[in-house]
Amino acid sequence: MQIANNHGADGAGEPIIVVDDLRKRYGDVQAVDGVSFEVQKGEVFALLGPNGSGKTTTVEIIEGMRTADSGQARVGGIDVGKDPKAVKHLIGVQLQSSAFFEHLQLQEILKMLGSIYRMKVDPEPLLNTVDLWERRSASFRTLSGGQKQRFAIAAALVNDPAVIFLDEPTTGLDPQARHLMWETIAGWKEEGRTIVLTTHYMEEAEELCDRVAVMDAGKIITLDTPDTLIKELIGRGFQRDHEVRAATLEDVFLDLTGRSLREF
Amino acid sequence: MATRPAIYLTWMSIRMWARDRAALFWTFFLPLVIMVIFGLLNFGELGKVDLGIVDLAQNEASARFIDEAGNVEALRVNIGSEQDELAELSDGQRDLVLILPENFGPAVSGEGAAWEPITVRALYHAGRRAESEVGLGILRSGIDEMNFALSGAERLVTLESEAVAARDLGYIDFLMPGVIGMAIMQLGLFSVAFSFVTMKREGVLRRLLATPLNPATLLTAQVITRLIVVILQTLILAGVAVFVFGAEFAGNFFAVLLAAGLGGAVFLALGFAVSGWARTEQQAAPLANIVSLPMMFLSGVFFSRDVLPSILQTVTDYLPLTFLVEAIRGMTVQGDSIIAQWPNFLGMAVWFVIAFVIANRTFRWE
Repeated sequence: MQIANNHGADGAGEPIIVVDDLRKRYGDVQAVDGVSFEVQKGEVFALLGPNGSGKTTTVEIIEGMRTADSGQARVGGIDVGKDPKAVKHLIGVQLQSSAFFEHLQLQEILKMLGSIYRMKVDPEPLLNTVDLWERRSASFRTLSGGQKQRFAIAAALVNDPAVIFLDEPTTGLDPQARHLMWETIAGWKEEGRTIVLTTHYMEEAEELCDRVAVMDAGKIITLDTPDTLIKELIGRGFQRDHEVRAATLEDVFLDLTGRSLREF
Repeated sequence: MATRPAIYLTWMSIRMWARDRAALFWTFFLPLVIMVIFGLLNFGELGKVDLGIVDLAQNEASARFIDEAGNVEALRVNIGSEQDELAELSDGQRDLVLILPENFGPAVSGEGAAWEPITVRALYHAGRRAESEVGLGILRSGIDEMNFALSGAERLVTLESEAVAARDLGYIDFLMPGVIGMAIMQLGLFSVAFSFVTMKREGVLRRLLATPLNPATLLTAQVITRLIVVILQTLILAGVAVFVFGAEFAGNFFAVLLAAGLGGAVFLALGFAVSGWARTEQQAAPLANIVSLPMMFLSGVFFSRDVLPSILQTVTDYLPLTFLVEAIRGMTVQGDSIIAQWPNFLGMAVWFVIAFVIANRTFRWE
């Protein structure tokens, strides 16, 4: 696939994402309550938090899918509130539950999405990244849950984006597919892309992310590298109930069933 | 390969549409079946007067009379015994039974021989006034003609009548524009209402919101696709009606397609209004039916609105399907131009504006 060499707009040293005091209210609920953070180019950044903590809303404002009541988000130096379309050209988005047109083949969907960015898309490398080239003529509806998830990832890549947003990318995936997903994300990082993801799996955040932000009730309550956060906790005298073992049940599972993907 | 989003999206939505078997069934197959069934039943024949003739004379004069009656376009002549014909009359199979008495004809046989005054009895079906009146009128004038011819009296007053619609119109000529209009209505309302509600519910529209796609581009692609289908639908239905059933197609072909396209735009806008309001297919279906069903029966699709009570006729004058069906019918049957049909085109244009405003207010992406 096309490896872009210069991902990210020239923001003259500005972080590729700058979020400043975002606020969004739905009726009585203050979904996002003064969120500010920055993401550096080439970083893998995670928003963590329980359901309803406001992470999806925050991400959707940055993606230009929702408008904030106040505050500002800039991607590649562009104010999303002012020019959402320009931001959408820079980014690739995988939503929590994506659906695509009926009666179209996977490869046709990718070509069609490409046409929206005025780009000619070769579906083969895109579908190969997510191991779905064999199913290129299938329709989205006939895919299994995990395959749909993987296809949504391929769809997020059609415009060769500088910034990729992934909303719970591994929810519902089996361990094999999850590990493949992690490898893919690590590969994007090596290509110089910036990745912003939300997840409920802490081992995922720990494995992948340079920095994580933990949200609760619409606010960021902490933001740092996973290592620092863990060390701080231990420094406060935290001890696990169970002894730390050298392997986990997941290691057992992968040892027994292998690491190769099961469904194509 | 076209990379302009509008063109590529239109091309893809045509592909999607062509692969959708349910859509193909509702758009092409069903209207065609309806037209074939009603066309074969040929309700147009019902417009003729069923005349039963009981020939008690069984002579040359009566044979000539029956022959003449058979030549009258508006009459369907049956000959039978008095008992049989009267039974058919009370069963409603005849509108009128005419009894030619035994002394029908000249008193003395032979060419040019004089007639004695005679009486021909006609019995009519009290429940079918309209048909009986038409039949009686025809018989009266026929018998008057005979009187003049036989008595040799000079004709002082002559009624000169001129046929205006020279064409021989049948039920299929009435039906074809009706079915075309109905098919356009169903396509516009249902295909949009369902596909957009599905795309909204499943999150297809939300996913597109994450791309730089201009919403208007998506709507344009969907509308163009369906207008192409409307044109195809009109061609197929008109083709079958004209070439299989011999329907009349008097007007300008492109003018009819223009009327179909405008009607399509009206019902597509109504479909968007429905899909904007409905969150699920279960809400869209009844609403689309509430809009379409009354029109299917009240806008003169299958039968003339003349049979409706006058209040209902006035109300149905303003239905969008009435404007569409009557515009097409005026063109195919009377050979009207668009200018001659301007009130119906204006009616459709007004409905388009109304539906567009509603659609614009109710449409949502999520």
